[in-house]
Amino acid sequence: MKNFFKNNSSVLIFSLILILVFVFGGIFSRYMTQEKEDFIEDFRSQEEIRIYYESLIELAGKGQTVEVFETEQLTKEYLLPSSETETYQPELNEAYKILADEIEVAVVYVITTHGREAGVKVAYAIDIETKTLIDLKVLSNNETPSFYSNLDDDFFNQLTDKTFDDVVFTIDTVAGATYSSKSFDVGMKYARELFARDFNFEIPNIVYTINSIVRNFDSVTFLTKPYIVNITYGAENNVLEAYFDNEFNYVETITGVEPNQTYKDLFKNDLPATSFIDLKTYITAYDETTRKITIETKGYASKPITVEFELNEALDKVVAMTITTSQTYDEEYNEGYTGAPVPAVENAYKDAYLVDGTYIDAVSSATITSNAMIRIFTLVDDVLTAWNGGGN
Amino acid sequence: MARFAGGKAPFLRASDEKDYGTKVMMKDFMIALLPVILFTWYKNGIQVYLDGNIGLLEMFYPLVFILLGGFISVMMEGIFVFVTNKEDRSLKGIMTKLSVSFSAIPGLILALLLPLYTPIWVLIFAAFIATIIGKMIFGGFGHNIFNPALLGYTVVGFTLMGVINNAGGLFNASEAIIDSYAGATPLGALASSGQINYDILVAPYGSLWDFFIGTIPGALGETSALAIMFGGLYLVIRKVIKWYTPVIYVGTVFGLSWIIGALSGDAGLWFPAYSVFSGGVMFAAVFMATEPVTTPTNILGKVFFALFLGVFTVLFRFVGSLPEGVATSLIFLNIFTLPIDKFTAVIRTKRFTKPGGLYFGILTGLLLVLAVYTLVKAGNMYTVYIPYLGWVI
Repeated sequence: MKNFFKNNSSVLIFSLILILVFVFGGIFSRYMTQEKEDFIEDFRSQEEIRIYYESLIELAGKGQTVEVFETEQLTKEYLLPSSETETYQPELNEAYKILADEIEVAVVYVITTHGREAGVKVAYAIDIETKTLIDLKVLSNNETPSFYSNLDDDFFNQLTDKTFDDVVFTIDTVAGATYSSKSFDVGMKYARELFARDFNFEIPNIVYTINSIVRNFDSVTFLTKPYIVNITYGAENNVLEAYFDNEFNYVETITGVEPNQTYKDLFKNDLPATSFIDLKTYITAYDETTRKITIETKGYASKPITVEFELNEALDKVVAMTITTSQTYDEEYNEGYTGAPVPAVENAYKDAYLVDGTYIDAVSSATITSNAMIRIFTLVDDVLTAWNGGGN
Repeated sequence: MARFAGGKAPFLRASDEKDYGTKVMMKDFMIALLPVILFTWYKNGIQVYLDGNIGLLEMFYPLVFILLGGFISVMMEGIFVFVTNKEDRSLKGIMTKLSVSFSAIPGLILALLLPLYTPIWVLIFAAFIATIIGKMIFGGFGHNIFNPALLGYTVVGFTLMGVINNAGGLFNASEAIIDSYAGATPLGALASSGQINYDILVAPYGSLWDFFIGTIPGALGETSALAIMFGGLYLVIRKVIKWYTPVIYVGTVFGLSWIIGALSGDAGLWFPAYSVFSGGVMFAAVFMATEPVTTPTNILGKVFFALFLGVFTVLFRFVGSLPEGVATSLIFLNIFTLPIDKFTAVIRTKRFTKPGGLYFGILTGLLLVLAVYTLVKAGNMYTVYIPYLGWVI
């Protein structure tokens, strides 16, 4: 054995060295490869973050650096766009501060709200100094493209440079994308709530109370001033009674002190949400010569149901009516309707009403349309009663 | 002179004189490699470390890898000597033999030909091919037909390039994150795009200055034309190599590339410059086309060898499926070193009388046919219509 090692020492040394090179070199190579892969992966993810941060700076239009803002969700419920009663909680996904020379100049909240579908994720950039919503960037959404595409530049322009000091802090929705529009409205409002909490901003709040809303049935003014609203407003509790139009724009003071524009905007914003009377149904036209009065309301379909009533000469009874409708009963309850096709339900109400002034019971699987018809007849009866104590 | 033409090279050296032996030549050779090695270390190690993209241990890897190439070669040759030389198997005896066979050089060159992230086991395998198969099997130093390092590189290139690429490939950490490279070397960009377009071939890597300096992706030792030229200049001054071999080789590649560029509609000098500064043309010109054992020994032979090498490089590069072409053409021409040497030796002695004129005609004719074929095929590749030559060939 000793001789073996003596005779073969050189080859054993060379071989041993080669084996060591093989083993440790392999480890070194593998280490190098792994380090490179880790580095590239790390770099790519940092690059993504860098690009994202750059987009946030671009969104804010100011600052040089971005840092993560550790803030918390704020509990605040908002109405689901598709419902008048159900609420939901917007989700605060991320928050960042934009700094210029180490001074906080803007904050970005990434908020997910609910449009037609859940998941409208938007970054809202807010100027800390001017307390203004600078701009927003839609990060993702699950909205129906054909509807969502209706949100044009004019819509989004409403959301840029929008001051938080506005008492009426809202935006106009876009026809054909109402639910999507509302998701931005809620997101914007939620961003303001977060900003108020995080940066001690006081959301302007004007106290007022809507005491009542009644219809104006005056035969001369009912078309232009359909609502009489009683409101208590201001620090001095001014009581105001005033006319409002179908769009809830202030028209004229009846009694009290005329409010300023801020209040008028607030009233316009809030009146549709009140429940004193049925505000979905209103008179759209009246022709004294032909004695035809037109009433409109929303049923299930997006287009309203319009009924043109022809009154008798005494203006106390309906003698005929023409219904314009585009309801689709089948969709109301998932194809549960099995009766005659449209406008069978509307005609059934018409026939019953013309015979003896009654409203038939809601038709099964077409109750939304039925209720719309009942609202229309109720309103026309109210008009006839107010004018001449009439009604069918 | 002619009677020496078929002998084993090198034999024109006054090897017994001081400062002229093969030992001195090989020492000079290693000194000439120093600028290349140092630049490689700087580019793939130090600079990447300074960029903050690798750690200290990784910074030394290029240097370790290259030196390891030489070291592994020595170890393998040592084992081979032990196995084959039964008379003296002592460590001292083996070391004496190793010291005169310049066993480290194939490994060093081999490592310089390989990508940075070549696994060590692949390097060991390549060194085995280079040292044992390419050199020792043929009888050791001075007896090999193929350039040993090149043989090792070619075998690995054809068999294990996938493994090398999976391990990280050519790109150092700083290069791997540059989006404009799109994961391709300049020659890779030409192969994939098939377009002679400055914006595709040069602009993503900077400018031609970057090609000259060597701050472009590529195999460890081949990117810096400047460092290679320093080494080449040193070898010329020391009379280890003849200046005209690299000049003719690079000139041939340059000229043919220029014509190909012109045929494709871009007669700018950038394309031939790109062609010689990308890939291994410069490295092969200085360190492999001049290698005394596997290339012709007489002046005319060297000239023809360099000319053929240039033509084949362009042929393989622009017509073949491999983006590089240098290694393949060199290995291929190594086979014809002896005939070229013999033919040119006869030409030199007989001038243009029979059979010198015939040999000259054969070599020149072959060269011309190959060059024209290359141009036509490359021209076709870049959608240039050359009606008559294309029809003939």
